Amino acid sequence: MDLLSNLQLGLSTALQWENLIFCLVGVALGTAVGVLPGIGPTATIAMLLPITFTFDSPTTALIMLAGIYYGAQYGGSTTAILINLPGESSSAVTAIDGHEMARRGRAGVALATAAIGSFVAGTVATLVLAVAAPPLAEVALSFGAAEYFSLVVLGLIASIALARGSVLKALAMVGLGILLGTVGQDTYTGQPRFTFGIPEMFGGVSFVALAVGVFGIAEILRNLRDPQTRDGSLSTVTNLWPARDDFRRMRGPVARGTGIGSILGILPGGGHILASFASYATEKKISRRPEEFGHGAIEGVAGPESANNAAAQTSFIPLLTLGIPSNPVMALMIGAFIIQGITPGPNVINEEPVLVWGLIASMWIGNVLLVALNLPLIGLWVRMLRTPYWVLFPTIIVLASIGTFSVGLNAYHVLTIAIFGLLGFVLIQCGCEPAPLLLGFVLGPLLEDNLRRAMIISQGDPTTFLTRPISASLLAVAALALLVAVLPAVRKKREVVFVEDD
Amino acid sequence: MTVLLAHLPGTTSETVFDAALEQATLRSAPLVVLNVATGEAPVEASTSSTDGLAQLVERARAAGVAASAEQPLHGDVAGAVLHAADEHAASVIVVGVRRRSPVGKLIMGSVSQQVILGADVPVLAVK
Repeated sequence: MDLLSNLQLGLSTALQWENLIFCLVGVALGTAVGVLPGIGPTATIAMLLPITFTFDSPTTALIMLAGIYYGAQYGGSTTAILINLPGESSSAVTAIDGHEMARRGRAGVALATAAIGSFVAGTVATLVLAVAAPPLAEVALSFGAAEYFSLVVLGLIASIALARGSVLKALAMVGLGILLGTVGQDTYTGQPRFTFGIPEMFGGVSFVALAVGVFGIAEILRNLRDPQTRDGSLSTVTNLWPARDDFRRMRGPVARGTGIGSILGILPGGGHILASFASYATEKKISRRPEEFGHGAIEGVAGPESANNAAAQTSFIPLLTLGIPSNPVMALMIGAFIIQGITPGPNVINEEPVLVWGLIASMWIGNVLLVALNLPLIGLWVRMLRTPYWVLFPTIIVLASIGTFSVGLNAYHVLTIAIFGLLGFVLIQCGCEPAPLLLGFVLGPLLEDNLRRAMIISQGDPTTFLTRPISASLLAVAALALLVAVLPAVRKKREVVFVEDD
Repeated sequence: MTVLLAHLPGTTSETVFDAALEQATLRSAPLVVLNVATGEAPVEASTSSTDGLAQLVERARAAGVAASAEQPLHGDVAGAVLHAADEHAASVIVVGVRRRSPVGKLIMGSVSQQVILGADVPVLAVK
């Protein structure tokens, strides 16, 4: 059994003591940033990238960064349930019923449900990842430039179709991202583009500065504009173990949430956010007691929590098999690969089996650590939330600036953070999501490189994208996705899915 | 004419609430429970939960006093209390006072003191 020996290799790697420690560091840090408003996993991973320079093994670095990512999903739901303060956008749905359960004295059960749901979904999705990755990488090896171009197009279109809110705004954000990605010297001719003659811009826009700006600083500005405060009265957490009836009620939602999350996680865009919304909408629709939703229905916690965790795990599939990131966090992981001297792509899984399988196994271990870490430390997280904004925000900004500066030792990048922070704030106020922007920025250069390479190979014949079967079918799927996204019937459905948001 | 209670969840809040209720009964005036959220931290001990406020209103009503609750978000707590007193034409403001060390007073100031000095109507300070 290939799968078993791979998993065994992974487990033996992930259980090495330094990997275990950094997995713990990662999930603890992830929980902390998931709990705190104003700083999410994207900005945190961006800031910690330079630290991973000094790590001996790339596996350890990636295990820690991945831990931050799924740890944040976890921390976000803990505060969503206990104090109705979703630290992460994907846990906004959990707050609806989770906090109601807490108000009814079932905080312990809600937390346990979230933990069990996440754990089950995480385990299943890890297996999905382990099963699906090798064959997919095999297929990807036969991909040429034309196929990669079409795949990136599909990815971008999918991220538009799945984005929250207006399709047009998402399209504009992707376009802006791609344009930002073209700043700097042309890779083929060396011609400076959009640099306005400023030498500092020849190297292009710093990805870390962009991520920290639109995800960190913009979020802080938004919080300052409309501060959120919650009462510190903690619902007493008693009766952790769900009753038999609770178990019966959460079985279905966990299974469906895992399925929805596993599929949506692979697709580019806000997979895990959409997954939790979609799962909530599904559970509400098929429930025999829809009136209970919004008043502490356990299904409303179990489904979305499983879905977002499953999606967080399966979003590693396109990264590990194709070298294509499906969300901004995965784009940062690509950065981490490159820093460690590994070229992301279908070869990674064959050339770096220890890394890939170690990472996959560490996610499972990380989920165990999260369960063990979170419940006893809830008091600590809530105490951390008492930190006044005037301490919290300057600290985040200083750390973010130092982190970004140390990536390139370039003070100009710090200025870039400020500019993109303001831009991000304006965009959020206009109802535009920053995630498609960042995805466009990351995928833009990939899109351009492969487009030009394919055109050079075909000697300027654009039909090369349509005559190669894989490329043509990918483009067809992309066209279909775009068509479906703008169709009125589907648009209405999308609105229904996201309606819980308001 | 109303009775304005500047509510702060804590150990003395019960005594202060009882005093405010007594005032409202004596004056047969409606009670306004005010809790100011400063928005200084994601979680604040001085902010009451919506449930907690609703419970106070419920208790006042059970005692035969018309009551309502408000939770404005304002950085200047004393200013928000005085503003609410104007707005509701309060005939008396009920505040709780805590024992503080001189140094503590110097650093933190006292919201109650600011309310007492700034108010145009009588203030009942409850210990």
